[in-house]
Amino acid sequence: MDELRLRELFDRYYKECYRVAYVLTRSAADADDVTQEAFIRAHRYGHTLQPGRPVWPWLRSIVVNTALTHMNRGKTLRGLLELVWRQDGVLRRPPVLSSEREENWDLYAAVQKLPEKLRVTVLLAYYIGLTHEEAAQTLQIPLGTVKSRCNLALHKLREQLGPRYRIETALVEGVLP
Amino acid sequence: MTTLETRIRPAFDDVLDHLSAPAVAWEQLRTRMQPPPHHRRLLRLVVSAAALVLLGASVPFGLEAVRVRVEAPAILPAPREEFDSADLLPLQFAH
Repeated sequence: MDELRLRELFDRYYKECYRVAYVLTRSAADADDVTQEAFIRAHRYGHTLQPGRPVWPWLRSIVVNTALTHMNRGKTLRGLLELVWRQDGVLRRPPVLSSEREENWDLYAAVQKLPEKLRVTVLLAYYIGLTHEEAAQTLQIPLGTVKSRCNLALHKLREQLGPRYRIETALVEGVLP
Repeated sequence: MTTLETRIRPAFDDVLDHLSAPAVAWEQLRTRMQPPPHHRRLLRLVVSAAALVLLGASVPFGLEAVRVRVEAPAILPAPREEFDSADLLPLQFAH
C-alpha cells in the first residue's frame, strides 16, 4: 500500500480506530501507540485487502488484534498498576449532564469496570460490532464461551445499573408478564 | 423495546465524543514508518558487533570454568565407622 492510499485511510478512519483502541486499552497513550502500530501494519500488509471488499472490517480487525497483543504484552504490570490506581485515561465525566447522558456515562463506566475477559468480549460484540463468531475467532476461544461471557456480562450490568435495567432483566427472564 | 446490548454502542459513542484524538498523529506515523537514518544503522551495527565480540571473548572463560569444575577432585564423605553395639551400653561411673 502506497503512502497516498495510507493517508486516505488515515484521514477517513483514524478517529474510529483510535476509539476502538481506546475502549480496549482504556489509556490515551496506549491507544495512540496501538493506532499508529495498526496503521503501520495496514501499510505493511495492504496486499491482504482484497479489491472490492470493504476496508473498515479489515482495518478494524488489525486494530483489535494490535490492541489485544499490546494489552497482553503489558498484562502483569498493568494489572499491578490497576490494583492501586485505576483511571480512565483522558475521559472525565462532565459535572452537569441530562438524565439520558447520565445513563450513557453510567453504562460506559459499568462496562469498563467489568472483569477483563467479560469486558473485552462485550466490547467486541456490542461496541466494536463483531459477530459472536468473529469475536470467538479474534479471542481464540469457543463460540459458546463468547455467548456465555456476553450473557454473564449483561446480567452483571443489569444488576449494577439499577431498577430500569432490572425490570428489563425480569422481562428477559420471563419473571414479569 | 431496546435492550441493554443495543444501548452500549450509542452510549459509548456519546461518551467517546469527549475523547479527542491526538492531532499530530500523522506526522508521528510518518516518522515511525521512515527507515532509520544511516548513522543510526551504523551505530546498531557497531553495538551488535561489540556484543558479539564480548560474547565470543567470554566463551573461553566459560569453558575454563567448566573444565575446572569437571577436573576438581571429588570430595567424598569419610567412611562411617563400623557400628559397635557395645557403644550403646550404659556408661559406668566410678563412685
